[in-house]
Amino acid sequence: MAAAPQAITYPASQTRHPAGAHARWLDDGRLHLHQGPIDLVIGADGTPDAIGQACSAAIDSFATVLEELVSELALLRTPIHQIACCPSGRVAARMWAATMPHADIYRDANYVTAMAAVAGAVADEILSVMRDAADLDRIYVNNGGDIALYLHPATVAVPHYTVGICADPDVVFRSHVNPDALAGDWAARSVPDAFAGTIKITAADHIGGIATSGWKGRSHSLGMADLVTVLAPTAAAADVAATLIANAVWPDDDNETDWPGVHRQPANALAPDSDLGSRLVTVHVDRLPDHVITKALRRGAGVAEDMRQSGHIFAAYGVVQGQGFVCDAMTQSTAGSSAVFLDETA
Amino acid sequence: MTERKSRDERVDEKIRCDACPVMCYIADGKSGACDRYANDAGQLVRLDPLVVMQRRVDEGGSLVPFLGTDKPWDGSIVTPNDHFVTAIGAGTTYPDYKPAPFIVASQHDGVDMVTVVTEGIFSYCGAKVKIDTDRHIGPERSLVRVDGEPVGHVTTGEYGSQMLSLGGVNHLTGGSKKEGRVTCATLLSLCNGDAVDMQVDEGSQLVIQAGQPPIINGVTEDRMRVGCGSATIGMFAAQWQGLVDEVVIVDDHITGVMSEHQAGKVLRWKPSGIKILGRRSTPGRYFQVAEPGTGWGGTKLTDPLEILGPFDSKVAQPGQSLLMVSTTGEQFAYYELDAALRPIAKEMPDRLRPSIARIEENCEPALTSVTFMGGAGGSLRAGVTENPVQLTRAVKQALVRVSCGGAPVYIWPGGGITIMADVMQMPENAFGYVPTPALVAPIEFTMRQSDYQALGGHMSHVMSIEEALAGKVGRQNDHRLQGMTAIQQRADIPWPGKG
Repeated sequence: MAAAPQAITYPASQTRHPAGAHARWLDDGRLHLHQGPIDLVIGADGTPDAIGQACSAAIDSFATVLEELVSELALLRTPIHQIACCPSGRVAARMWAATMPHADIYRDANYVTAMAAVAGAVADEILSVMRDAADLDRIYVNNGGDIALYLHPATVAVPHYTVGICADPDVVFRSHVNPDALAGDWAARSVPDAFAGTIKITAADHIGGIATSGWKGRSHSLGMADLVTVLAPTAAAADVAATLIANAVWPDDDNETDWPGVHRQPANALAPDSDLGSRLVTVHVDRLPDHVITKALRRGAGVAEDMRQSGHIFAAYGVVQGQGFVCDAMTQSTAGSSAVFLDETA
Repeated sequence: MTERKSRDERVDEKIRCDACPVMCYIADGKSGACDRYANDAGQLVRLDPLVVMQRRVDEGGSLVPFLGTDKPWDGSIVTPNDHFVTAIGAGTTYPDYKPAPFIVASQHDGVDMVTVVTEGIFSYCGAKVKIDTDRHIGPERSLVRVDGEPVGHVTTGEYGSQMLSLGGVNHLTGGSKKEGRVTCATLLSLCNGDAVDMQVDEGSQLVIQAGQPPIINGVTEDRMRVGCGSATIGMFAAQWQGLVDEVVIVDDHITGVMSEHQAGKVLRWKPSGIKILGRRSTPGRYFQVAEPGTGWGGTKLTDPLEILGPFDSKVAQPGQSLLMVSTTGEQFAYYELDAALRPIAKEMPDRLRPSIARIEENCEPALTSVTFMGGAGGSLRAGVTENPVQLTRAVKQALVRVSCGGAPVYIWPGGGITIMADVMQMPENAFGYVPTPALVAPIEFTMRQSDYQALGGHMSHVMSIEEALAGKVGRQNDHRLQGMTAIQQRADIPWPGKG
């Protein structure tokens, strides 16, 4: 019922043709780009001329993004360790580059495909086009929750982005990442609240991407995490990492065996052309006992910490039914462990 | 419906969506990567239902599901003559540089009618809320808040009712992002007939829902008052004559006193020596007897004697009787003067009880009514004709009937097409929203085919209603709708387009 206001071209004859890309301005000055499954909401700050130039460039560039992706779709749906060379498309290349670093670990039955980075890579590409087109104070490109962002290091007027993190509509947690105050507000980190915490991102953080994955999200997840949110140098890197960490949130090393209370279905039963094939994806999770949640979170946190130490990501947050983990530079320096469980730090 | 395959036959059917270049394969009952298109028994469907209002005379008929619901079909033969296609779920083509999603021709009373069906996105819209109560809900101009955000204000009161003006472009887009979002959510809930909890600054906490009694500070309002205090005196004066020596109708607006009132004078009511502490307007009619509140007759009084001064000893007699009652008959008290001419509360004599019950009987049930108000802007009009201003003129000349989800609308005089419609007359969940934030409301323009042509209508895009019901897609429309819902037309609503 809540039909989005897409301006969709209509076919000239009764034969239906795929709809093209569309751009429109939201009333608050943000730009909305849409085609097929892609919805980008873009916010930019700077001089009006610069915003105009950057947004024109984004609109031009976006016009061909989906077609380019689709032309290499079969390749992009192939497990990453089986792809010998970089795809040719701009977005496809970003997807490949973000996923390749994980190819050593995620292979064979435990494979990952470049599709894990698709949302983030589209956001990165449009952000990059905008940065090249004009000098802006700050930009974000939000592709359905996977966000590419840029902060001009020399800008005084707009020094940061404040990002709200919603871990779950029901139970969420607060966390504050602010390198300026490394002491950290530990009380605030662990307080469950009706609304998510916010993080403040400055240019000094070098965070270029934020992504969220989990079974409650739009993409399929192999794990039981409600949501995992990742901060990384690019949106594509964050997207892959969030997907893989969320997949790892599982109480058992053997992801093939069913776990009581977790309902799964083969991915290709839900979406026939899914890159996950017949692997089981989570469709519902019943209320789980605490010890199961803790085990699952520990596995997810371990994977996240490995990625952080390898430099793929800056930080990760994961939540299962109100309990969660935080993995970032602060948790290491403060707690000396690979990850801190929120319920343990209260 | 007979063409549909049984569930077993189509379990393994996959279809390929061609709505965008991704060309998803979609399994039966699932949606594609975009979550907008889905496979329903082998048919590619857009996930918004189109509502067809069915013209049926019999009251109490159930919904007639056309596709995919669990309610049984009642067996009625669905003939195109009896349908009016509403805009609910029609989708929109905003910004409307192209024809509206559905332009449908139907024959009605032998006249070729064209209905242009679209969902309008209204940034300029709001709701006028009429709350039947005498209780003071807050001073006029006070902000009305939902979740702490201002969404509107208390506006000038009407007969027996408090009025709220909610939404509007300034709350939707002029304030903070949260203000806009909360305002949009409030309007959506109210227009879709859901209850909303709101707080009036320096006033009451309200729970209001279209078609339901208002709940003010946790108390459900029962009845609307029969009239102001003065009117109540006039209506019931003859019934009280001979039964009681004095009657005071306590009312926040106009308190009436029988012996001084014109109605009492006509009946030769004897003076009682009563003294009302308030501003006398005309004989027997007093303003501002007490502060407004949620007590007696919309005042804050819990003891009505507070509005009385000492009785005039030259006129009043010991033993004289006094009835005090509120305008709804909800509060009442009976007194007799003692030797010192002080009113002493006594049990209500049986002879007076019927008159109080009569007041209560004459009060209508208190309701909250919600009227959607919105303006059809230039681009929405362009979706209907190639010359938008001609549509405006045609609407004003009543060549074009505008309806909102099939419900009749009032069109404001003056420029533009600014409409008001009672949300209770629309099908359920007729409204949607976009995160802009703005409300998505159904709007239909119905006119004679010849007039449509004369207005510069998109004639090449017109389809017959039979085709629309058969699921044909307007060539200006990118999506096929997920079947349709036939709902019974309400008997009290004229057939859209008639007259």
